[in-house]
Amino acid sequence: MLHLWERIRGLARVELRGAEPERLLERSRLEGLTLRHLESLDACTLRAELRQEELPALERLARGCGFSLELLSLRGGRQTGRLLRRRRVLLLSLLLMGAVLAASQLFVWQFRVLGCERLSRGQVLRALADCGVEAGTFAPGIRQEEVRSRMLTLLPELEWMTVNVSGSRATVLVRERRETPELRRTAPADIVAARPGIIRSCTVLEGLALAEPGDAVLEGEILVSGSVESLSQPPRQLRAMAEIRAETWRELIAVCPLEMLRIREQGAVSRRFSLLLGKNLRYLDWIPGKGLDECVTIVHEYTVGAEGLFALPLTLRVEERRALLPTDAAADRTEEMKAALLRRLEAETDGEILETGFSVGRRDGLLIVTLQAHCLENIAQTREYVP
Amino acid sequence: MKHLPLVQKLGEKLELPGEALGEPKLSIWGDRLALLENHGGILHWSDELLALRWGGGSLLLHGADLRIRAMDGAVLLLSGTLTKLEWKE
Repeated sequence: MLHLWERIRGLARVELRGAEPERLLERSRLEGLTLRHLESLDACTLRAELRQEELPALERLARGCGFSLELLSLRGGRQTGRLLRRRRVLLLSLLLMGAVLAASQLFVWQFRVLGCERLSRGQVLRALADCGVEAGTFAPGIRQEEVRSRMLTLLPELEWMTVNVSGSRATVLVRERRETPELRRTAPADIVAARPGIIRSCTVLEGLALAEPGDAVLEGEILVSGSVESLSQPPRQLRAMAEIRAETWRELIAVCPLEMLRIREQGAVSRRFSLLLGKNLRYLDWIPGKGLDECVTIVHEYTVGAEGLFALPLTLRVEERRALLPTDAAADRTEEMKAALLRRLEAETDGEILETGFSVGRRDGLLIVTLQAHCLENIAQTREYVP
Repeated sequence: MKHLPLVQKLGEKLELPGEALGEPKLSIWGDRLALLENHGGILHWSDELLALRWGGGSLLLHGADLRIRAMDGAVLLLSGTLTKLEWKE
């Protein structure tokens, strides 16, 4: 930046010739001149760069020391001014650009959303647009409190949010509401079987055990009762607690159409270019290539500006249309479906998976993948009494 | 024993940095760049040697392709490949 400022003020490169250049350097140092990029060509010649405004002082010193001074080049300063005066269109363009840049800083053209976990960036931006904050909004007109109140109403998942505008860029900070942790419940309840199986072990912490290891149980069958009999008192109702481990046999099914449409990666692409000036004005628009019937549209937007510094209200939008090709799902989706079924089984099983097996079939234009699994898992499920 | 000037004595008592009192200071980055502050003037300069008046004596910086990147009344920035430093009374 400092160097740029020096260039604007104007720099001169000179060649000095004379006996003992050190004498001249010493004199210029004492005069307070700033010399840069010194080059010693030989014992009597050196080159240096200095500010144009210091040139007369150096000339005077050089004369005093018996040195000859040759001006090699002048850069920046008046030379640039003269150049711009001759090229008025260039000067006007630069001024216009500066004015546009300054004016564009008053409007929001770029959004950055931070802190989203469950909500998507799109949801936040759409809600923000409903609150009147979108591309092209006059930044000083954004009322933080009003936007926050409306956003919290529109998106109940939000706990807090704010919009920080810096130049033409708005940073939307959101904090999502945390799920209230479930408190320990005390309502009377039974323990029932979550799925059919053969019980291998029972650990009852509270309640009356009705099943024991070796029993085969069906889904929904009461394993531990919350109603405890007493000889002297009426039956006591409590919340049964237990861990019942049982061998279970699970069957999970995944289905997808045999013929699917896939986005073609290469070839047959139609692109549509749009240049958006400001919020709505579409300045340029053309469609090379042919339109496609079965296609998906992928939109890429490139905003003119420097990332993190500023953005101009000029966006190049490329809408890329790609053909959808029918493909045989059985060929490449079977493994994917098997992996998905395994993931689902692991997520649903509270225990260990002893054995797994897959079967793949086709019926009525559908691909059916079935996972059979043998597990040892906790099947205890709390079921509260219905009053 | 060498007697220090009064200003230097005072500076030491007050724990002021030496360069604030006009004492010469040398900073070196690797063997490529040297910053010399408050030197007393250039005695000799060539591609292989830069000799400066340094306090009561002189400082000699030997090296190769030594170039003065910038200099003003108080500071001199030297670049090149430094090989040897020498102080002379």
